[in-house]
Amino acid sequence: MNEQHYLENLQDIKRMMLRSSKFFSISGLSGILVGSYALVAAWWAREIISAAHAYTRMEIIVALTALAMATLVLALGTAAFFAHRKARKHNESFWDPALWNMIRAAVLPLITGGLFGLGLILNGYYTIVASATLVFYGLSMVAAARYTYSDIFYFGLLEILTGLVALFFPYYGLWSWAFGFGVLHILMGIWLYFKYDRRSVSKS
Amino acid sequence: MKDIFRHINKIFSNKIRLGIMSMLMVNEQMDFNTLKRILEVTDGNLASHLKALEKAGYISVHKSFLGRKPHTAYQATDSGRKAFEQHIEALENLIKRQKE
Repeated sequence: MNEQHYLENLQDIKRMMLRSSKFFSISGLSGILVGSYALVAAWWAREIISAAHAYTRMEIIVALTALAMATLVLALGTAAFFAHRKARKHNESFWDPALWNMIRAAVLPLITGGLFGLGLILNGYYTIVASATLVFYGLSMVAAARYTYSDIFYFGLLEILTGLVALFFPYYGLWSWAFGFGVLHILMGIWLYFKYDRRSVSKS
Repeated sequence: MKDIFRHINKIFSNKIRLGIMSMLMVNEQMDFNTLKRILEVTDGNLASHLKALEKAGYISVHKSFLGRKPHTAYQATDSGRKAFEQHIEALENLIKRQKE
């Protein structure tokens, strides 16, 4: 029994606490891809809007909502696929209680934001849809951050800030949306990749 | 000298029991299979360590059924939390002591 032994004990305690309560399999690469999808979707949305005169209002809304949904499904699928791959590479299980905790924390603001956005669209408040979705998304990231890398907390704050700034530039909704969901995701992905993923790859 | 060892808890000297308690400190409850997967131990080994912690009154056991599958969840008791906090504090004190 010496100092080394006690120190090891304390390190074991800390490691076990972290491993069991936080989900560390979020992959930086998925952030980069998700951001890229958002940029493509924003560009596509702009094309649809610029051709708006040829269609009815309802057709435009349906087209834009379908585009948003498709992007969301693709983004979630990509994030799950890369997280699963990262967990397997590190011999950790994907369905950890930490993942459930994270999903549970994120899902309420996320669904609230989605329905809120839908309500805004159906009532014709198009100019603040981008702002509202960004703010709710940021809130869900802040909530989820408790169960994963703390960097996600600051990412969430940036999303909220983007949404609030967008509120004052209502006619640039698509640009703020592209910045928040596109550029910020890509930057966060690059950040996570260089801070966590690359180092652990070179170690193994 | 004996005094500073007073709160070093023999029950936590085992790595697996230390691991179980660490996880139950930060999670409201955990089930048998998750504990087993993270600690990488056999069923029998884990069960005997859980039993020891239960006997000491440091954890409580909740048995239920998820569909037809039995589901056993473990939770740290108040006295378990307190004992573990004291143990951590004692470890820290010992390290500090030896550094001086």
